[in-house]
Amino acid sequence: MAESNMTNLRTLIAIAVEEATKLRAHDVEAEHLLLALSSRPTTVAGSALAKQGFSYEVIQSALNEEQLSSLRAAGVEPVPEVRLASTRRRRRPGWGASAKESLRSASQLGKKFKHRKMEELDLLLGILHAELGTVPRALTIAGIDKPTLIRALESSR
Amino acid sequence: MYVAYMHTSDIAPVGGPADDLAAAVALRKLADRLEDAAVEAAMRQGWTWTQVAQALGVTRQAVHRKHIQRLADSGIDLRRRNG
Repeated sequence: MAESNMTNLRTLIAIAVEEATKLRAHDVEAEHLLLALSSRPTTVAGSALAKQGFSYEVIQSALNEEQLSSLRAAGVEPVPEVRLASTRRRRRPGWGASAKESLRSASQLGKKFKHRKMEELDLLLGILHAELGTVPRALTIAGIDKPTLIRALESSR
Repeated sequence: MYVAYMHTSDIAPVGGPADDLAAAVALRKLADRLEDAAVEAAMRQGWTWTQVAQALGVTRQAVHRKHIQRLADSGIDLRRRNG
């Protein structure tokens, strides 16, 4: 069971790194972990998200809207994707503060349950635990009621 | 001066300073992507490292160190670009 959790988490981390690389991010952040979780609808966390209507595409769209909204706050119009196309960096992205905080929160959640290792659902709740930053903004802008979502995810344990 | 420190749960992720802070994050991301794309486009058009560095307002060494590996992977012929 523990091995299976580790394998799942390792796969998830690899997907999150790939998401960050694809988006030309310097660091893996909470939003890349969230995209990775939603990209695997057959896992516990991915399926719980899907049941609440949060597919990979829905989350990707919410994150895009957050980026556009934040640029608009600075009076900047989006730059067409074609002008931003470039060859990927060879360097593997590092770990950003929001991803580290999500993992820390998830680990705390895991420890609440005796002998239980961190699971994907813990990580998802750890990501949603943040109150400020890109993911909370994306959820708010998309009109998602975070407390309701958290309650629904917790009840899926 | 009295400052009312707010617990994070009192602060909304959207509106007020949160918007400007998020704008700074979004601008940084956009600037990074724009620089990567523009450096690559300039080198494809035959610019030298020195010209790109001057346009960016950084040293030639800095721009070379930051982009050389990526551009080597892009298939651009980077020989004789040291001017």
